[in-house]
Amino acid sequence: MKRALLFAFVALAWFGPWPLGAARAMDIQTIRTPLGVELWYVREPSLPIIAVNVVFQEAGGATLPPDKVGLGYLTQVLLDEGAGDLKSFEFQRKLDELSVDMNFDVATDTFGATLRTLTERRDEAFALFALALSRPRFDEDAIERMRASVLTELTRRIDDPDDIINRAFVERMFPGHGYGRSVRGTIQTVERFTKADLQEFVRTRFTRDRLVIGAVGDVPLEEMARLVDIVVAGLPEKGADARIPEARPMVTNDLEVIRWPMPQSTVLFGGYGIKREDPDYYAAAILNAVLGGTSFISRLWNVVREERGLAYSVNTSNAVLEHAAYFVGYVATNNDKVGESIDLIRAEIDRVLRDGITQTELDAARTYLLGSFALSLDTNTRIARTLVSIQVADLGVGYMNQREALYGKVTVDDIRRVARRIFLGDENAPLGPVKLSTIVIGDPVGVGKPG
Amino acid sequence: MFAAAALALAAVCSQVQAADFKVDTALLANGLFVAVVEDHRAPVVTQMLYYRAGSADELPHQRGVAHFLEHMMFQGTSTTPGPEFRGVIARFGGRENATTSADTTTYFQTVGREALELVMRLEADRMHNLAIDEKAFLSEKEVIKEERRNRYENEPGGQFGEQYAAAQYLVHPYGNPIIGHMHEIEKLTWQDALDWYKRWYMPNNATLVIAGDTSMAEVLPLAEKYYGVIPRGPDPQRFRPKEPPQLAERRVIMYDARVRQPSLSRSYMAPGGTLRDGTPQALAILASLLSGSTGRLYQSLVVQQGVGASAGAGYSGATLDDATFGLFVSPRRGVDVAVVERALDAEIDRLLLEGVTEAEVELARQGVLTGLIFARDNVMGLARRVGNGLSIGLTVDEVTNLSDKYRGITVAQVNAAAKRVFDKRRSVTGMLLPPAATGAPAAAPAPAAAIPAAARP
Repeated sequence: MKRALLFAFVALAWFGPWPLGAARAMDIQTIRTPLGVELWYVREPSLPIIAVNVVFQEAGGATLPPDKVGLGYLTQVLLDEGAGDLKSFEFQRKLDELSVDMNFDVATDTFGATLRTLTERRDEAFALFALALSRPRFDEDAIERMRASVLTELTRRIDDPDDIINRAFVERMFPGHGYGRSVRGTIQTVERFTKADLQEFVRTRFTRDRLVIGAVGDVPLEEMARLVDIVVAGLPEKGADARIPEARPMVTNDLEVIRWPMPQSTVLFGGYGIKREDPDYYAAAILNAVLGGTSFISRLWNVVREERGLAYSVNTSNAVLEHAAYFVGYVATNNDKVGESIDLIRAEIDRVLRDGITQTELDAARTYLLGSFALSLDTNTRIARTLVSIQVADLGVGYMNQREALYGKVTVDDIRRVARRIFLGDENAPLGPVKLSTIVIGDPVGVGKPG
Repeated sequence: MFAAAALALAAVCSQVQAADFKVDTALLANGLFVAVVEDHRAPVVTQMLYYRAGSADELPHQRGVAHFLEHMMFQGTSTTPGPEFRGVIARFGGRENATTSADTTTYFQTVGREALELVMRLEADRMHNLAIDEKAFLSEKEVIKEERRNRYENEPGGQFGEQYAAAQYLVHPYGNPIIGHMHEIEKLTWQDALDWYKRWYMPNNATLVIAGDTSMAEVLPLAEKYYGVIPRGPDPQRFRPKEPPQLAERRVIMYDARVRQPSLSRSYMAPGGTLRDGTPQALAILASLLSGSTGRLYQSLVVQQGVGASAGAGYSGATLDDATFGLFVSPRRGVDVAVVERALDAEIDRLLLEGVTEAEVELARQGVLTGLIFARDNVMGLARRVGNGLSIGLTVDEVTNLSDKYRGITVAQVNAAAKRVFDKRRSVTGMLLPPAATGAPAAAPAPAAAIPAAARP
């Protein structure tokens, strides 16, 4: 029996803003490895552990055409199912014997892999990691077993309301675009994938020109470079072009209700976002923190949860992808409170559009964003991932020190401008009510057509 | 292959240091126990305050109050009003939250080291100055009802879990949902919350753990200054009903229209983490060798027989009273759940008949020992282990020196633990199924984005 712990609040993982910034006194070393890839490294001598994060850009689920959607996910679950001369059981037994943690993760834009090992077992660990990324076996019995597992999972998700609304939301925001499809694919696509499809995915996407690496460990920089090259050596120089086209979310300002028999409705509302490389990104982060991005202190938290007791959780995010950005908000509330909650949220956004935020709010949000980043760097694995994130966003190794200045420049006027960009779609748009695409799943009263 | 594995292990174990990590401790005159775990990798500290009171300590007419009070602890004190209290940590970039379990209630914050004094002042303040206002209480009740709907009424898996847990215990409160049932939350009063606060929230019923870039030399004066002034209260007594012997297996079968994929779970009564004879560690090793993709359950049910899509085991060890040992299998699409249950039973029978092997135990032991080294990368995890362990009555040595305990576990102990736990008469079997079916739907499933016709607007 699982006895779950109850938390005072829980945020949905994918709504979390992507935190980046200064503060941990972190000495980033960079080197070009003998095989010519760039490595970012933080040396942490106090633990006998090496953690490495490898990411292939333009290799995520959204790089696949509609009939291949889900191929990246099936690849993800098959990479530790045998590689080189080691069949599935032998490969996994080796991982067990060495106590190596190896994880693969297909995201929307990227395909990621992490390795964590005791330093004393680093050579064997990196050899296995390299095998998994460059010579996966894709034996028929393993493919069929993992296909069955993915199909079982997809079958379960068909009727999962959170999954239904998330799929509906991205389809609505990015119709016909890779960003509008689930990385896990559909039963129809997953049933058809062949060994050749899997091999093609690996060959065309796990390539040196897509590779970004961050590592934390207790060995010298040159030794880390040698280890990384064990992985690089097995990868082809270049693959096929799979660049995702730029996209702007479709925001229609209407409300869709998916009738579902449950007492509490979930509501997602979407607007335009601000991309990572946009000069307004920092203003958007501050606006989001003030409006709904921070638990306990955001305006929406106070109005919806503290003052009215309407919801356990309400939050917003400026969600950043490689080739698009969108604004998304979430609230879950009793069916008879859906209309009231949506009205309140829209009124709060209208207020931000009309009046902006105060200097006090701006200062508080800035302090929060600068401070919270330091706290997120609390394990070697997370630091390795952050080293990769900074590179993927092309922020430069000095970014950690520039962060305070970047947030420091934001003014209350910037916030007004960026509010119009997010909630009206254009900074020059005439002031009017917020434009939001809203989707509800549940059986809301007085919202949408009666069930 | 097995022999090679065993050899590789011997080399590793000898290199693991004696204590897994270091803890400094102190006891204040008012009974507050203080523990410090140092980690100077980053200029960050975590404060965790554990109260030895959880949902299993509630009286029958006030179920849900432990968790309710946890929420009220964010509503401000007589010295710091609610919005200020909630905002101050976030404005420093800090993170805070709280959690209620059956045995403990815990409050925690992670902040830059310069804010350590601030969070200690605030946490000490709400240990004795909480200002519960009735209006805030009633508003928070609505929030908690939404939380409950989110976890249970809206989730067939949550509702099933509640029924399943209830079936495991006839009288012990571990069978109750921590949040309380809806009608119980509805009935709670402002006075219930206040009574709970007065009964349990006092320095002599708490453990303070500070972890991160600090030391006892820095923490102790601050603890004296802020916590030391709070008077000791009358030592609260826990009354835990004792579970009678289970003589008959129990089955919980739930059909729900929202479920498309069946699942099978099994839970056995098992000793809790305070038993000192090595049984909890033997059970953790047993769970480990049953789990994972090279484990017995996955290899047999998923790889060899192809009846499962996934399978695993778990032991909920760190509890004050008797815990549970759980098994679960997700049947492969189209395979009847009864077939899966027979396969699971056969696997357990085989384990009881033949016993586990030396190589399996060594491999699992190594996994646990390496995990203890990896655990040092997460100082908050260490703080949690200390706080929870001390709160259920383990000693400092028992929470910091697990490696030695695991090194001493023998194959015979693992087999004895398996015999002790895997008694079907002391089990609950749970099935969460689609309506009016005992297995997966035979027909082809609907397209991924489709909604059943009956549910369309």
